[in-house]
Amino acid sequence: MSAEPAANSTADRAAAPRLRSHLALLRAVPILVLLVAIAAQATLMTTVNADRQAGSGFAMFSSVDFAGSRSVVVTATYNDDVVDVRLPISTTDQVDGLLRSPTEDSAAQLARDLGEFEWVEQDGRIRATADGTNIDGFSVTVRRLTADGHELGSEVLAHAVAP
Amino acid sequence: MNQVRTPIGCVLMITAGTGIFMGAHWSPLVPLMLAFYLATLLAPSAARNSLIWFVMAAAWVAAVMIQPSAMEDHVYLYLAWLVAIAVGLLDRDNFMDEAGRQGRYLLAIVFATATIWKLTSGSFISGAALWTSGLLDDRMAPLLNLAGISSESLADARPQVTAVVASDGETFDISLSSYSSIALTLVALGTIALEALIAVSYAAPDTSRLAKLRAPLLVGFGFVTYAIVPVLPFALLLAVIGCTVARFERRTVLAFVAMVLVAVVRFATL
Repeated sequence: MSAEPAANSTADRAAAPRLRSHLALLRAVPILVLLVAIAAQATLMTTVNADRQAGSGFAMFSSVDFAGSRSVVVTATYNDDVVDVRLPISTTDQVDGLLRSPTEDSAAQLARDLGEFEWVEQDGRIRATADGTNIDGFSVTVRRLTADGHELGSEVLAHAVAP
Repeated sequence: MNQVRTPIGCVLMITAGTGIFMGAHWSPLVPLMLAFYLATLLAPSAARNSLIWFVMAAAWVAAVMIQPSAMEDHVYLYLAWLVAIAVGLLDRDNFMDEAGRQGRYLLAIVFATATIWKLTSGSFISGAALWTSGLLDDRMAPLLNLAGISSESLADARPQVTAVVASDGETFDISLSSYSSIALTLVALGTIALEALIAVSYAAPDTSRLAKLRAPLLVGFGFVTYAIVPVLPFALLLAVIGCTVARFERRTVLAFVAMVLVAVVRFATL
């Protein structure tokens, strides 16, 4: 490493004490930025079950529950039978959002949006198609993994049924 | 070029360069960070203007607001580090002291937070979280293989765990051998101990004996972590902050370079 280049000008040096007094306050800003980000994510994780591995939580790998281990289960009543729903690709972002931050409102929104598609049955499931039939009563459930020692189970994070 | 080869120049250049990789989280920032990196190389005097660094931090605040779902924790540490550099440049004569102090506190906060999450998670201490992460993230396979858990057993378990999380009342027992069970718990406890020690060493005063452990612990963490899950932007960020705290002491810099190379090699060979 070479030596540091010439220091700031004389005027800069004269202003240094005044600057340093202002710096005392500014010095706290980087730490506050990080603490606020962590607190915000921690709040989201504990209140709306936000994904531990996203955002500013620094909680990677700390739990069996993260967006990648959750599931969105969607069913509908088709010809009087409850059938699984194969979700259209256009709902991918919505589903990702539900996995990351599941709420009853966002589950209800997905259930309503699915009612806009037309459906056809295939291999015991229904899939969206251009010339199918409309269906009501979609049920959307977001579940997460739980662990009791080495036994894995699951529980509901959000659930909604479209009217 | 002389200005680039000073400790301040290195901090600015590597931090700006790290931003290019951080841009993976929001691609519109890649050209901006590339231009910023070139500025730290070609116009090092201009790059020492505090205002520019506040503007860059503001750009990342915008990115976080616009695309929050694409951001990961290291982006927020990067944002705080940009602000720390901006604040440090307000008093350039003491930049390395101020940036080093800020870096110490930022690393202490990050690793203390990570420690708290893991300590309060029963599924981490039991090893279930590590097993589940390995089940769903192939990059973790080498770690689980070392713990005696075969890739085949994970592949067999995958559909069963998928069924558990998709239905009510289903359970799945992670049946581990005694060796695997103990190994996973030891890995979990070792991780907690390492992260806690890093937090304490960076929080401790420079005069403390613990301060001497900072770089070895952080480099050790990087070697272990990034040899398994290579998060290159995070490795670069920890390296530049770690080097700044160590005032770019030669041996420390070499150790951090090796740590980043581990991440690069692992990433390239995934």
